[in-house]
Amino acid sequence: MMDKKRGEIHLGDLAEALASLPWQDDDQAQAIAACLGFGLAPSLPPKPNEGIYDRQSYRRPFQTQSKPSTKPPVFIPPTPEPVPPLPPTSLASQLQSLEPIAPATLDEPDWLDEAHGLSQAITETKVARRSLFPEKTHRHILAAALATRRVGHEIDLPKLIAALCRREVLFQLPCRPEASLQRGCDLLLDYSPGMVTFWEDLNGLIEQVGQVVGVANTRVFGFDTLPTEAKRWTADGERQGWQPQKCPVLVATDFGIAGFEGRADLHPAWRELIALCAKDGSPLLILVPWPESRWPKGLGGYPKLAHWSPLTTAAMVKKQIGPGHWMIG
Amino acid sequence: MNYQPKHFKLPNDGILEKTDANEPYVFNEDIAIALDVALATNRPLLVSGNPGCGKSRLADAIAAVQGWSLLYMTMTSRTRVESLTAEVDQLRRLNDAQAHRGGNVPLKPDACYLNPGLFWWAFQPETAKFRGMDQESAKKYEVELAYPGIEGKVKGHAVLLIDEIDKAEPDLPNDLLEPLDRLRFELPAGFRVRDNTRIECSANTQLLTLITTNGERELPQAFLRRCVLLRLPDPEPNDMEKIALKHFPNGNQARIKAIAAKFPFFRGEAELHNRRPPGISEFLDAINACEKCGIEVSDHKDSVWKKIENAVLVKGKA
Repeated sequence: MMDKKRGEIHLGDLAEALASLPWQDDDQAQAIAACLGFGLAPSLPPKPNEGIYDRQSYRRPFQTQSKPSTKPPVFIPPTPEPVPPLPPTSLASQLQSLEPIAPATLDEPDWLDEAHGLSQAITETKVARRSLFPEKTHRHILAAALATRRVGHEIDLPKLIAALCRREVLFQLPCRPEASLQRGCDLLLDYSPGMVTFWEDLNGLIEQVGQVVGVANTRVFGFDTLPTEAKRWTADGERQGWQPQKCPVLVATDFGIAGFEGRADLHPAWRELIALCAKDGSPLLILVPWPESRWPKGLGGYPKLAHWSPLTTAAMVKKQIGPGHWMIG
Repeated sequence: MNYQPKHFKLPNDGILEKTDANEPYVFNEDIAIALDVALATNRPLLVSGNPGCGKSRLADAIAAVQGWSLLYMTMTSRTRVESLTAEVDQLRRLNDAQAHRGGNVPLKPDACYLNPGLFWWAFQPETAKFRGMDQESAKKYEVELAYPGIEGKVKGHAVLLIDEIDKAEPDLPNDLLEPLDRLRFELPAGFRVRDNTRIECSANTQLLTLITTNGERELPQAFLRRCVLLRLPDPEPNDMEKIALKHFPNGNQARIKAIAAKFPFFRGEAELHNRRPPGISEFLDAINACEKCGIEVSDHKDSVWKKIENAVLVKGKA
């Protein structure tokens, strides 16, 4: 029916739709354009990550009533109490108007304008900054970093030929492994003082991982210095500590080096974390925002470390990990 | 509703009435416009919205309204493009070949091991039924297939539902560009159907592909730019009441209204506690439970209604 490649939706589609459809007013024409992606509103607004680490709630116990909400409340207030019946006639008011204490015209003091100017001056301006994993590459890097191997669908010919030569009856085809993101990811984020500079990147990483692995498959935990004490707050306001769950663990941290060279003394909690992941069989990948020369030594071969930088590529990560982490169970 | 669609047969008042064959569905102007645009431009329709807002049910309703066939598949992390187009049952083929060794029974043609996917059924149902062979051969080798969906009155036209695409591996949407864009796909290497190595959509076939997403994972831009977009909002209490009354025309109307009136509160609570808000499907479940068990809505903390609330609507703590 359609032999030619139609490609992406373009102005021709919009023109065709507007020419052929029976729209009656500007709103309907606008709705038609919006369906085709010609609109100002985002087509698929991102959903909030339910597991997002909230530093405010990390410091304070969870309080249902005082929880800040960035969205306007959508619930309808409860039905108001019935209005008490009013007397049939209104009574005469006993309030008397008083002479104003201050003169009607009052010169504004000079400092009033200054204060106003000051409050404007301290308004925070948002400076555009480059993400540590740029928009163009983050999908590929994170997919390479978090993929695990599973039995795929492509036939493993050497194994098949060997089985045929041995005249074995096959109940299952030998297939080659393939990379998959189905196991999801545990994201452990370091919110220690040394990482203050990267807080925005940490929050961006939550979104990026959610986009690649799926929000429902991403568990986000935060920690302050000690990774073994990583925790999150559940929807019910309960504190939940992190435990490996047979899925890749992605940690974003500076190991407390705060960018200084030579501070390679590693807290024992890091070795505990590595041991925990190794025991569980959960692959461990650590993103460090500082160059390799500053990374602490003595982490062993189990964790894979990568430079959290715009210069990092998916190929670099694949070189370390291969076509996906091997996982048992 | 002001908009009168040209390609989509919008039912009276925008409501598909309940019958033995289909559940009711309440269309709004946004849906009618998006469907008309998708049909006019012959593009897939990507439907997003919160869980339980009626995305998948929309496909049933369109098929019922248009009288078209319905083909559907829910994506999982194991779904590949081959399972949606055509794949070869290699294991059966191999075992048949092994079993045949030294026997007198001739080998079956390769096409006997070809399993058509939903796109094949949508593009060419007549060849999919016989796995690309002629009818006689398919009957001889007993490999004739039954239609995998719900057949409609209008032959050859179909609604194809690819449900929950964000549950599939991230590469799948990109793999679907060819069948969605060119309305054709290549057969596995070595296979031919009517001397063709590819299956193309028949000229007299009209197809509406509906793809649903919960927005759990970002979809590739190249894929998004090929789809007509429709976001289903969470319905307002009035709409919910209307939907419920269509689903339960003989139900207790006062009770349905009382449950619908409580819904904004549940949504607000869910949002406040960062929980997933209940959807229409849960709302209908609650009404169904009340109808079948004769439960009245009550604010008493020990009432049966409160148990229903927790089990069906709040679902907060396991």
